Amino acid sequence: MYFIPDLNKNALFKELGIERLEDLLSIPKTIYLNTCKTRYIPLKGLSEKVLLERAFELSHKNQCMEYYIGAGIYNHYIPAVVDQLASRSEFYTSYTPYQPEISQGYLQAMFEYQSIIARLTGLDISNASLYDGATALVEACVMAKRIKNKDEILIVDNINPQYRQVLSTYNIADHFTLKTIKSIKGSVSPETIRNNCSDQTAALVIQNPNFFGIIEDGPAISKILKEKNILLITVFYPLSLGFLLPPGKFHTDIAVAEGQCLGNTPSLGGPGLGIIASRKEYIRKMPGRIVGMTKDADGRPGFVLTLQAREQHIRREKATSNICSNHALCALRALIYLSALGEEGFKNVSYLNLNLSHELSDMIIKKGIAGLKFEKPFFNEFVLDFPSGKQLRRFRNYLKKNRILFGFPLEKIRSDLKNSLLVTVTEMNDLKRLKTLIGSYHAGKQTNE
Amino acid sequence: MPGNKQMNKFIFDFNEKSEDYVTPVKTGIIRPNHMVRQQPLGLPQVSEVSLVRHFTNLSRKNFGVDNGFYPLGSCTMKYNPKINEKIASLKDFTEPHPLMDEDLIQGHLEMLYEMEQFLKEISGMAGITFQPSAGAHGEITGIILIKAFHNHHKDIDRKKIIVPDSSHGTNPATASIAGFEVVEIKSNPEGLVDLTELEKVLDDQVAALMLTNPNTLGLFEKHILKISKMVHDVGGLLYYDGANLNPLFGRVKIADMGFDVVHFNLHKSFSTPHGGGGPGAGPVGVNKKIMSFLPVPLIKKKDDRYTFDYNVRHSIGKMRSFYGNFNVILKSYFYILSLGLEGLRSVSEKAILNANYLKNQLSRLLELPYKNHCMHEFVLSGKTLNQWGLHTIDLAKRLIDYGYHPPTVYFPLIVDEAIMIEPTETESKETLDTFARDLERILKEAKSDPDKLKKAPHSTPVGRLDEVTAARQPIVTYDEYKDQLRTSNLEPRT
Amino acid sequence: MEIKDSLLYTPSHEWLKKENGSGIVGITDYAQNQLGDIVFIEMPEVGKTYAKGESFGSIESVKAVSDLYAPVDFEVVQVNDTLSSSPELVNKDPYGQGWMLKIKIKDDSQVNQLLKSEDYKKSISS
Repeated sequence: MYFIPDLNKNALFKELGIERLEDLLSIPKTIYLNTCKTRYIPLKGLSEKVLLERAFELSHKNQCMEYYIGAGIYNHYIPAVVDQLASRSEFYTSYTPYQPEISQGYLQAMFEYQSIIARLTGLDISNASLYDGATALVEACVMAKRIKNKDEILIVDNINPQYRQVLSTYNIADHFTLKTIKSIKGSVSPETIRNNCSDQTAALVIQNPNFFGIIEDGPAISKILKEKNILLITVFYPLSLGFLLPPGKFHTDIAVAEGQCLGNTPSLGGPGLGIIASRKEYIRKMPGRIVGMTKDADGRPGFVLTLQAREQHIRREKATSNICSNHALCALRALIYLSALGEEGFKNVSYLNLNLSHELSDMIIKKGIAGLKFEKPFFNEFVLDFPSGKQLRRFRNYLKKNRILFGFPLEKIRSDLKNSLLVTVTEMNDLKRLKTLIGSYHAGKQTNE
Repeated sequence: MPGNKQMNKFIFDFNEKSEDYVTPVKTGIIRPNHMVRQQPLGLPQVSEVSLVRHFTNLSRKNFGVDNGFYPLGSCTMKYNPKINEKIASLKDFTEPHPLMDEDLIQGHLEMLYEMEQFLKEISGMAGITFQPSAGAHGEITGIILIKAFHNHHKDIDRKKIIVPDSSHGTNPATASIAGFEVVEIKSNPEGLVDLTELEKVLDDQVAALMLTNPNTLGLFEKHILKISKMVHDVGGLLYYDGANLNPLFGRVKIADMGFDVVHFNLHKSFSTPHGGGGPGAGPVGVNKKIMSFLPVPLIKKKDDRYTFDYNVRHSIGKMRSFYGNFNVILKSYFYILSLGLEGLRSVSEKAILNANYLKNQLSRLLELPYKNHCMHEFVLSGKTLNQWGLHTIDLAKRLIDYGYHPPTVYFPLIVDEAIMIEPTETESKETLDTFARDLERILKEAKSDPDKLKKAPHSTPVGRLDEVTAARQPIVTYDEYKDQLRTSNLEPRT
Repeated sequence: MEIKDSLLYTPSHEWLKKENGSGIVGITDYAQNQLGDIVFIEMPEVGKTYAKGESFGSIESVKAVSDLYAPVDFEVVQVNDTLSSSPELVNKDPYGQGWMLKIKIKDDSQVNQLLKSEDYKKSISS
């Protein structure tokens, strides 16, 4: 309460010629609460000190432990400059930069963010952020439908299952005909795609690396789509792009991603950063805010929110999207993160993730604990196949007792993958410790249990 | 306004190559060579000190609530207590992964569960989903819930959503994205929903009415009970756009007004910094009849253990990955705790008093199209300026020179030369008085030296920018800018 | 405000120039003036057909956007491609270089229902 200044209520009442607040109100008496009772909200506010105590009490109920889990949200090291700079309150406490003259700082930063995403993805343009990866995919599909004036969207079954779920929830109005394409042994078969395209297909959605971590054959897929004049939407993992061919270089038309891994904390999955990049020719179909460069009356270069006529506050029911608030601050963090790492640093992290994950998978296979479910090239995630679900649980519990949370059991989302564990390795993991633990784990003995 | 007149370098203009050695990819790793990056990424080459200076200097060309008064109508730019930032950055909150086993994230779940109870107590709704990431995302969640509700009752001909002409642009945009036809109704001379106009469009094809109350003119829809009865009588539902919830805390429950679905703008009403455009959070509350349609998962409490509940009977599915903008929700939770019920009631009281006080002061200077008492904000018209060849925008830009963020201008659309002012409860009487005095000075300038306004702002790094060229030939990346420089008239930076 | 006697108008500010069976469509001087600096025009594809009153495209200024409505039932024969790079032509010369479509008129009887210049003048001054 200390942050609300004393109003000198009586002086204001006098000024307004009223005796009580209610004299100003036209709220029907039957619903106006003269008093209000609550069970959960305390009557009196807590002091800052007590608040902090409550915060520690809550945070201590969490059991932080090292984890080998990804599946869309990744724990990567965040350089200290990211927190320091993004917390500058000139950025942090500002609104959307609708008044460009006093927002040149943020506008330039968003312009730089758009530029860095374009370079990273190998595409021409990016907007100034969306909510998260899943909703970015929805926006990409809406965009594809508008570009092609067709409503069929093909979607491969090995993309993040949550993304598919979000897309089908949004599709309650039947905007699209969503058609799922089966993957074969974990990855996309270009032939299956060829067989599933129709005259009504606007776009195909793939994920690279896909949900199982496998690297897809981008060029082979896009070749078929080009022949049939179908758009390619690629869901990508930004951190993999230090190593992998960027989506734009295998003819992706719209690339979307969860950008949390770029300088944003996992935070139980939110806020994330919705990345969307595309070709210049589709710029007027893009959702959300876009910063553009221009000049003032004296010829000084400057930045503005541009192409606003696409957006809800002007186009209302005909807007390209209903989005208003975006995730600008997360985008700012991504920009600072990528700038802090630079070319070499980013490649280093990307390669390190690749190397460490392969080191771990080799270790587990050699020890005979589990095998790879799919024998295909992967980046930093892979699926382990255990002899039985029981053995999977046993191994996982063993590590959990040693304060390591190992992998995400795919059974939770796919009943046919009972023995499979999706494992993610990042530079934050301590492989040495894991190696020692695995060394003293007796896998062979448990086979008969 | 701090910041010099010279444009900053771009982050890409630095050439401070690091000496980092890139650890090569291990031999033996199977990789499809044609899927491996061959070309450089083109990431900045900048030393840490230059990086810090770059963003520090950019921040000096930006204006936040911490810089000065920010009376941006409908945006509720209140001051945000710093303790929330400290709490939200605790490692035990930021590090956990959303797919961790439930027993490891009991602290998170407890917070979400309690916050759910808080929002229910404030709104009177029966169920909450935390998934929506912002107000507009809450709207689309709510409208999809409404669609699912009607579909479930085989009421598939309800194709219309009604919005008042004073509504936020997100309302019609949301309705149309959810596949509805948008019907706009005119406001009456008092600035409220015109009941006769409403009556005309109500029929068995109406899925819902979307309403902000108080509306964007800052006026309470005093006939709300009548309106809700009218809509419910034809089988429609009532949607509450929570952008203007601030003045109702502890005084009116949204459910008591008859609303079936509501979104909260946590980043407005419940104080989390807007971050230059987001992230916010837009949880949605529903009444009993819509509970069974909520997105999964919900949070369940049993014997002091918290779990995710995926067993929601007619769930619409998911509106985004995972559970919501946890980090933002956390700050709002602690904001509510820091106020308590008494504090919440004094927020609404002070928001209303401040707005009415400032309205009285300013109505002596500018035209006030709707004279009634307002709630948390009010709308003036800048038509007075026309006599000196000036417009609202000129006044807004001149305010920048006096150290203010301009109010919302040209919205709502139904007021000519609109100036929409929301002082919020965190500003003192002294700030409001100074603002009124400065506005008076500007109006004197308008009369004596209109050019001063016409050419404002004078104190900023750039003057008014050419938005027409920006929209005709958009330059949206550094590489485009460089290409353009080679061929066109954009002057190189000095 | 220029209103040409030789043209026919719609209440939504499109003009039509009739040339036996075919026609040219654009927006009026009044409309361009109301919109301000035009930044983009979304135009239909050649060969598409539209019914009278249907939206065949849209026109944008920085802070506003309007639909373009078919004055009669028509098929698109030609689109003024220069407007994609120079939308300002609609501001400068709405009845000349700022023309939008050449069309094949499907139903001649609809032409008679359009506004004559005096009627259009009345409609915008009221």
